[in-house]
Amino acid sequence: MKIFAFVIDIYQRNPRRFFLMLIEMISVNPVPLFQIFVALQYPSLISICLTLIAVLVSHFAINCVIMYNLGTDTLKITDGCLAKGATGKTIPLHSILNDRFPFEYSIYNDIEHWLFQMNGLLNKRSLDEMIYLHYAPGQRLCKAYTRSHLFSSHIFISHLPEKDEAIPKFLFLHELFHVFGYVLARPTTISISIPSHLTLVVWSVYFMKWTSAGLASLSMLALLLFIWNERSRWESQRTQVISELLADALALGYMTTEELKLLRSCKAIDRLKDPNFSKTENRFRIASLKAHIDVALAGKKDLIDELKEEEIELRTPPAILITFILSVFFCSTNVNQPLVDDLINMSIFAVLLLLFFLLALFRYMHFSSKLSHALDQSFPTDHLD
Amino acid sequence: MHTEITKQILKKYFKDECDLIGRENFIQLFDESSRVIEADYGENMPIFEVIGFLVGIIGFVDSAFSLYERMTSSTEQNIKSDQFILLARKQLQIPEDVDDSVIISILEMVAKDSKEL
Repeated sequence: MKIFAFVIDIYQRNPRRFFLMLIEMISVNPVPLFQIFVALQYPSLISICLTLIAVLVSHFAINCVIMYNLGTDTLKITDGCLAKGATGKTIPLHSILNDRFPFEYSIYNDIEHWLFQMNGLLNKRSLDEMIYLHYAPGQRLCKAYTRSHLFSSHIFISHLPEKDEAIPKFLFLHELFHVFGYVLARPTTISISIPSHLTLVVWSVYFMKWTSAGLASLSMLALLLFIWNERSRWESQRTQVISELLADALALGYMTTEELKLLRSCKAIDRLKDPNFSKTENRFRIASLKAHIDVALAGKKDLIDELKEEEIELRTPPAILITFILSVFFCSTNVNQPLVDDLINMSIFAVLLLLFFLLALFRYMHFSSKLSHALDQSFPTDHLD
Repeated sequence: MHTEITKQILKKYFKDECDLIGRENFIQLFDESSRVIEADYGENMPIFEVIGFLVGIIGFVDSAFSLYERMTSSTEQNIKSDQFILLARKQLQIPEDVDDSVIISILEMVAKDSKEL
């Protein structure tokens, strides 16, 4: 029932956004839609069974890739950081946010409230579970291993800001919001769409009528798939700067006037350059940070309230989505009637993908338990002294 | 050996950078017992770049002291600051994004401190 409550929650928040999300979801995973179009042309029990298999096949294809990537990301934390000998302690986020950053209200509770507003019922985990802070003194560590908000992100730092350190406090909060910004502004559709679009290609090639009309519609679909994915990748790179600006703006919302003045007078913020950005992007980012500080100093600290999810989240333009769905429709009009053999072959395809998914799941669970064990050994949970 | 003067240089010419990285990180820059973990993957935080910049300055100051010592060991005459600065700017790797006037001031401080030792 929770899934229905979640869907109703999204609809009630913004009906237009809900329908756009729906169309985008179909574009991200178009195999079931393709098969529904086929079933409408050739209504039979085989077509209905194939529609169910299409749902399973695309689902397993997407989850194979997600699980494989999650396993790899988990392994990167163990091999990339813990295996190098990093040691220290894990400090619950609430401990540092409430004890080290006194503010007019609890920063921890406010961020959690804000995340709930942004994500709705999807956000069921506490901040302490979403981000693990590992304090490694004397090891010059400043690394963030960011993953989806449904899984935990890990931050390794060698410095915990003191109560009177305004600039390190800003950078610390920036990093927290950078993790959330990355989660919100990152088009998760890229990682999901590639396996499902490849499945669509396999599915449509298998059922295709090899006529000139069939070839033309398949070529059009392949071209649109290419454009769709290239555009998403380009958008992802472009929004990295926005993600930084967003993290800056949100962090400023939790700075006192005195801290903002100190930050504004600090010339070293010009050195906060991201090596992945171009010179212009870095200049733009610093100029925006200064402008945001000025706005906050002028008393307009309600930057967080002004942020709307539509402005942060990436959405593919509706025109691209509709053209894409039309091309799926045209492609589905040039297919052969599904037979029992097709049902058997596609069932085998689904079982193979299920096996790959289970392998990827076991791989993730193995790396995850390895990470937990390594963290228990090297970074036992502790509280601030 | 030159820790105190290096700290003074950083606090005098790069105070904002020192404030930015925080006291604990600043102390760790000079802590010989600290070990640097070069972690892979993940994303470096922006503070990492500034720490790297200050490490570069410390390296520059150390090389300047070494150069001065080499110069004094090869000649019995007193070395003039101008001579030292000229040679240092030719031989040492000058940190990027630092004003020329700051580099000259740092080298003057190194020369003055070396003479006093």
